Amino acid sequence: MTNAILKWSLATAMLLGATAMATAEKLVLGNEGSYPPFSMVDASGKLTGFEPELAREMCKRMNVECDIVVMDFKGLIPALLQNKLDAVATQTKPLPERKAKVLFGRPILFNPDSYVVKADKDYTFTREGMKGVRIGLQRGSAQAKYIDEQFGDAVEVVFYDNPDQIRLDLTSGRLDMSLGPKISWTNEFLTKPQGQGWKFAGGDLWTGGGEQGSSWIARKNSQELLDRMDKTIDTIIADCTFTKLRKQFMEVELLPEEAACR
Amino acid sequence: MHYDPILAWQSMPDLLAGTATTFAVLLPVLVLGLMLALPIALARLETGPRAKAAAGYIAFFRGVPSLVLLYLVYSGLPQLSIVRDTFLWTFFSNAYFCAWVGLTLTHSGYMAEIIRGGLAAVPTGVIEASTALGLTPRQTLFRLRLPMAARYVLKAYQNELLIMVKSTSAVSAITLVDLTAAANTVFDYTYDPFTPLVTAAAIYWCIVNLMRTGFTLADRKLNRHLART
Amino acid sequence: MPQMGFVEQLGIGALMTIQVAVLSYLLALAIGTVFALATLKRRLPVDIIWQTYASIFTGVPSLLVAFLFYYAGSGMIASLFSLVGLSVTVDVSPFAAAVAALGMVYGAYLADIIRSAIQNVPPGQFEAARVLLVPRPTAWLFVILPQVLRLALPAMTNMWIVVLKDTALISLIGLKEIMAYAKLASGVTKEPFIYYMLASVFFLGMTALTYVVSQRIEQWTQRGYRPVAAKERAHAL
Repeated sequence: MTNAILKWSLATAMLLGATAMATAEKLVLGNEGSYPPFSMVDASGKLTGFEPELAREMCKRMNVECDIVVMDFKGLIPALLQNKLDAVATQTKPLPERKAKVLFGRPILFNPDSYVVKADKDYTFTREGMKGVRIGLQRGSAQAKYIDEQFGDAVEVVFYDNPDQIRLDLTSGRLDMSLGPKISWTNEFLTKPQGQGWKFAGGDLWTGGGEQGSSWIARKNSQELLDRMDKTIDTIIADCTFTKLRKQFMEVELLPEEAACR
Repeated sequence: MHYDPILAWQSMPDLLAGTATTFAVLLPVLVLGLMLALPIALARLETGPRAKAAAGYIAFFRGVPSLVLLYLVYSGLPQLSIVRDTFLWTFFSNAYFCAWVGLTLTHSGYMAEIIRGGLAAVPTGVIEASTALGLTPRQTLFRLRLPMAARYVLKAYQNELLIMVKSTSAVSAITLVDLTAAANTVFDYTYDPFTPLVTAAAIYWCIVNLMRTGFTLADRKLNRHLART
Repeated sequence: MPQMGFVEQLGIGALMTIQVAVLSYLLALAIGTVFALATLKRRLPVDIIWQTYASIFTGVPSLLVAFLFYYAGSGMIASLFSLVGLSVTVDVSPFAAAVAALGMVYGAYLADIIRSAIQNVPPGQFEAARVLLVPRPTAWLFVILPQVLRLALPAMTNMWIVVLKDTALISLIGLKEIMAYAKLASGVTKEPFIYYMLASVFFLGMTALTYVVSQRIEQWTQRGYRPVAAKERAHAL
């Protein structure tokens, strides 16, 4: 008899424990995974970089269990729209057609773009000056739209799924130039041996459709989730954890609010 | 998910440009693959080290997926300085060239096997008779054995050709914008996956069925002597 | 030199490749068998369904089908169920999209293979089983199926290799299998050659393994079978 009572109570306890775990909130976040130093996969398969670490800190403070899924940048918004993701934790520029479909949170960083060209070449960035230039761009990116609007058919655009592939082709000579965020390209290319002989050109460009910051995003029906995420990130910035995390991966400051943490 | 005919119509120019790229990749591959496969098939039919080398070639290029070969040629070869720093680079820096090389190698592996099967099916009596009549081996090959083999392998060649058409979608991985990649680009810009992908599928379907009809007509013409009642 | 961490990842990817290939092949076998049995007799409604299915799934690249299932799959399922008035959200993972796409495409090819194998089993076998009053399920399972296996095995082995290699292509939809890890590793380490060579070695190894195993199975299916064409023996036993 006591044996049976023992077994039943054990089973009930396990069941309650399981339901307790199951009711802990779970969020599925999407991250690009191949955008150093903001996100990368190291040799042991672990997703690391500034944005995943920031996301993990945010989830800890929000008391939720986060599952970070890695996929190519161009797949993030479609996956979000199809409910495969609850939010996207990769910096995204607030282009008008994106704002029509998703909600943008508070800016995570300000990261201007610049052209990456060979050090010994000079280009005039007009339709005539760029005729026949082979430029490597990322699929689905704001830079791709910008180039399409600025130069149309004058340039030859080659699309890639992630920036590492663009850098491979730049160094092997298949491309003349690329357009990308200054921070990532400084960290991953210009300061590395394969980037010797390349430089920025054309000044700082803001290709975000008029707005300058890049943010994380959520669906139009997830305003409440986005507000929670924004508030948590505000606290992370305020107590300088943001700066601490950022310093692990890059020297450049990302937000004006970081000035208080110098 | 519903089909958006307006978007389909607007994206047609891009999709058709992608189709042109698909054919630009496919046609040279078919020609070069055939040319490369013939000596391999002949070597395979002999005995000795040449046959073994041919068998190894066929086994390698049928066993490795075309995507791996494309990556090897496009990304892997530029790592070797012999490719990067010599005149070879003018060729390998071009994505089309890499696609032709990669797909031709795969296609030639399968074609060598097909041609070998066809040549083996030619009755030996025909070959003996032609030698007795004084035809050189080259004449026998090109005027008798190959045309007869072609009839036997028409079905197998049709299968391989259709598979090749569909395999060209792999070149989207090495920056070429074929029909599949073009559909994906439309999807990237409009966030509507259904319309461009289904339209591209319809275009592929038309191409494949046009080819099938062509083969049925060719089969009727070549094999009329096997009149089926 | 390859970093061991990335080689390990290739190994994990290889396991995923095998998983996808096996599940897709099983699905294709199931679909193929159903269609083969259904189209043995020529009935118009079944024929129409079969012709449409085969036409679509052999006329479109499997990569495109996989893209469609992955990106538009949830939407398509939702629309389908909303026709009956149910609200269903199914999340289609890359794995599910890959297995579904490969299974449905190669199911069409396998159906043709299995059907022609069934039709090539000597009709005498069916007649003998009927005459000996062997119940139909038993007849199919113990008499017909082993012979179908013997006839279809070479083509089925070929299909397995094709499915395995097509899994590599499907990596382009974002499935984390060996090709995806090779591409990642080559992007990070800037040494593409070695990682893609390792991937090639994997596929060649699988092909060789398949060859060895299929030889064994072919010997097993041929046990007790002697073709009647032999001149010395006039009977099939």
